[in-house]
Amino acid sequence: MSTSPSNASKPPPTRKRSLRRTTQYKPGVVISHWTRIRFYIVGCAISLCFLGVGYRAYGIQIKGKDHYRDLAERQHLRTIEVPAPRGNIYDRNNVELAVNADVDSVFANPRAIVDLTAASEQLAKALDLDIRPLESQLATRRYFTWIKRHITPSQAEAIRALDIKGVSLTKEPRRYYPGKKLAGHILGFAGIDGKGLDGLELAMDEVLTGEQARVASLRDASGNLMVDDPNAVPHAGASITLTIDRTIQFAAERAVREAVTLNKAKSAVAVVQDVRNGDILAIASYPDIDPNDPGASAGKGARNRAITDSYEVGSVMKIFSIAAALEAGVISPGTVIDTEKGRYKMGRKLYRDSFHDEELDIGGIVKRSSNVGALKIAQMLGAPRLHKAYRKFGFGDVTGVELPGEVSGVLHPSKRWGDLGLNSHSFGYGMTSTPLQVTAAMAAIGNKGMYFEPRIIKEVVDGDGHSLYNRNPKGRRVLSKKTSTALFPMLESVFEHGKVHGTARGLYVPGHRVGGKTGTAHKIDPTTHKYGEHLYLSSFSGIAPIEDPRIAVTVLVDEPHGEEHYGGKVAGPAWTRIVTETLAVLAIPSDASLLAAQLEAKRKLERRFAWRTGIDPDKIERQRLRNQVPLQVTEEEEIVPVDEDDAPAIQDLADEELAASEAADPSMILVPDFTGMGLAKALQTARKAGITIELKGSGSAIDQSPAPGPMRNPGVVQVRFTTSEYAFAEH
Amino acid sequence: MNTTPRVRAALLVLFATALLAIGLHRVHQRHQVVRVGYELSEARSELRKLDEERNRLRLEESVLTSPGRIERIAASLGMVRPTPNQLRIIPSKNSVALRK
Repeated sequence: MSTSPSNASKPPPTRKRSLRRTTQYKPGVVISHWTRIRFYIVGCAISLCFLGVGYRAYGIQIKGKDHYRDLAERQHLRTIEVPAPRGNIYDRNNVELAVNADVDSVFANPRAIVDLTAASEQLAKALDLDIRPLESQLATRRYFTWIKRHITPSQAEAIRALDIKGVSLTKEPRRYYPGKKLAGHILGFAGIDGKGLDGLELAMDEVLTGEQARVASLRDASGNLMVDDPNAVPHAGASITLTIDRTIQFAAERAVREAVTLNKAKSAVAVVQDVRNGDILAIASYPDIDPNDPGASAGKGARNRAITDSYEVGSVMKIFSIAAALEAGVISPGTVIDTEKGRYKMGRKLYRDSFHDEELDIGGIVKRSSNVGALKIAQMLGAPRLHKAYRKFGFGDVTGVELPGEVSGVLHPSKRWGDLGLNSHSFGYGMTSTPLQVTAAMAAIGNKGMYFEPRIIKEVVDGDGHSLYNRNPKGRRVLSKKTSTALFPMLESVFEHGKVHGTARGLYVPGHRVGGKTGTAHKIDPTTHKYGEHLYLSSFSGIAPIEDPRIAVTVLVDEPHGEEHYGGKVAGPAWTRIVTETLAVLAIPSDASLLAAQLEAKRKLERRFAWRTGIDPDKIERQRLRNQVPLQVTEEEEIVPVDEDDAPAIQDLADEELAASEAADPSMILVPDFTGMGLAKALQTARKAGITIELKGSGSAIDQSPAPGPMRNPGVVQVRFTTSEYAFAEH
Repeated sequence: MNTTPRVRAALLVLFATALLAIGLHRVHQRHQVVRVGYELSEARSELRKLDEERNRLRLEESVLTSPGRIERIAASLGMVRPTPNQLRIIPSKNSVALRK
């Protein structure tokens, strides 16, 4: 602060006074005292503001950084769970047997629902739900609840149209089995969350289940995804290719279903195996199961009986005991056995045959299914060697097929067989085996002595297309080539006609030479624990074509209660049908001259049948030609991921009530149940009932129209017989 | 090093321009990332839809070609099962594979 020297000596009083209130910072710049104070105030205020901002910034950025980072991530980042699709299951020709398709599911945020009562009413109506449980479900204070999962497209459309606040739709993968009941026992089923619960779905759950991806994505203010992690992709489950052929499987399932219907049986099983590598081409089991709706089959005894049930299969086992004796060299095909006119007493036990042959060679024992012959051969062989041979054929142990629940059957050590155990084991009693074991053993004979473990999985390929498993079958020799080929003509002779005919006379596979063995076993009555008088297990196992076997097929019909119970009559027709269709699928050409001879033999048998029953064969033939529409039509519904039209069961009930009320009316005619009857029996029954029938096809009656029951004017009752022209077993 | 005020001002302008350019480039990049992110999300969503459509079509094909359905339709058209001498085997890829 400087002043000029001339003014310093006499400063004006006003100037002096003002000097007290002002500050001169620069020459000519004077800041008043109040201005300075205002500066201080403003400076302090700004500093306080900055301090405040700094403090808040410290609070957000440093002190509460974790909390705010979490909030920000929640707002901008969204973790998406991308579900991995479950692997598909294909048949051997890559036809889908189990696939996934996305369907809609409804969920709600109960907190966001405005009008609870209205929303519940609308949802209950659209989704066919009970309103009360729905109301209580929506009355909770939760943020998420499923309303209904896997709804139909029309239900989804209805929900979209309702546009209820707090109720949304989402896509979820659903497992479909397009064949419906086809291979249902093999495939099993997966639950609503895609977890395997039965069959292959359960056994292979680990490989079928993919790896879900969790992707952290940024979203904008509108909630749209801005960016996600391109590397985070879900790994689809591995796909499984089976050895099953869909067409053969279908033929086998139809054959067992018909066998059960015709013979009023409890259940039936069929197994088709490729003899050259153990590939299972079909496993059919009835009662069947629809994996799309497994609950519907609950309690009906639907299970894969080919592996879960073991039976005393009876005479089918004779071929294996005879094979063991031939292999051991204790007999040769030309050995003649005294079969004691079909009656043989050993100890206190009397063994009987169906026929009264005095003596038979080894082929004759197979052809006539002689128990006496089989047990005498077993006596020559001895229990230890028979037991060892059975074990080599795979009896008494699981086959190792890739299906859950396989049982080993029972084959006690030979020391525990007892005095007469050897006899009973020689013709299939005292031991149990599964249909799959029988087929695999029969396949070993067909494969000229090489046994292949039956397998149902051909290949497993992961989601990236890499093969995880490829079937590489390894066989083991159980019989010499010489022994097994010596058995071929014996098995073929079972189908022979003539005076000394085989047990499968009347059965043939058109245009093909085949071999097989019948079995009719008594079953133990669970109430008396003794062999039941009328409880049978009818079986048929064989190979085809006999000159160079490709397939082994076994059919078992459990507890037939129809007119017949012999293996050749009950299981045999189903066997020939399966073999015929399988050989056609495998494109094995038929022999035209053999077919002509078979048809001639058939006509001969029919003429004999007509002579015996008085029915004109030409009339039957004319009628058959006139009504030649006998394709077996299954009653299965199609499954497509569209609306299911639940036809009202009320109509059925009304029909039943009507039938009941009319039953008492004396003017009514009772239409008999022709199912399972032969031609002669059907005609006789119709005559007795006083009605006219029209025959379609030949064999055994499988269907009729109108259905049995009282009727005022039934008109001509159409009775459909098995189309199986190659199953003309006499009735 | 002595620099004149004019040079100093020029350097300052250059620096500011470079800074602006870098900033603009950064903003552009950011914008590109966001745009590509949206495209990626849309493409993924499209892929999922197409996958779903493919699965649905394969399911439908499998249902439509099921032997039971074909047989049912054949029966309604009055078709009959061929007899073995009516069958002619035409070698196909599948049958050849099976016969091997």
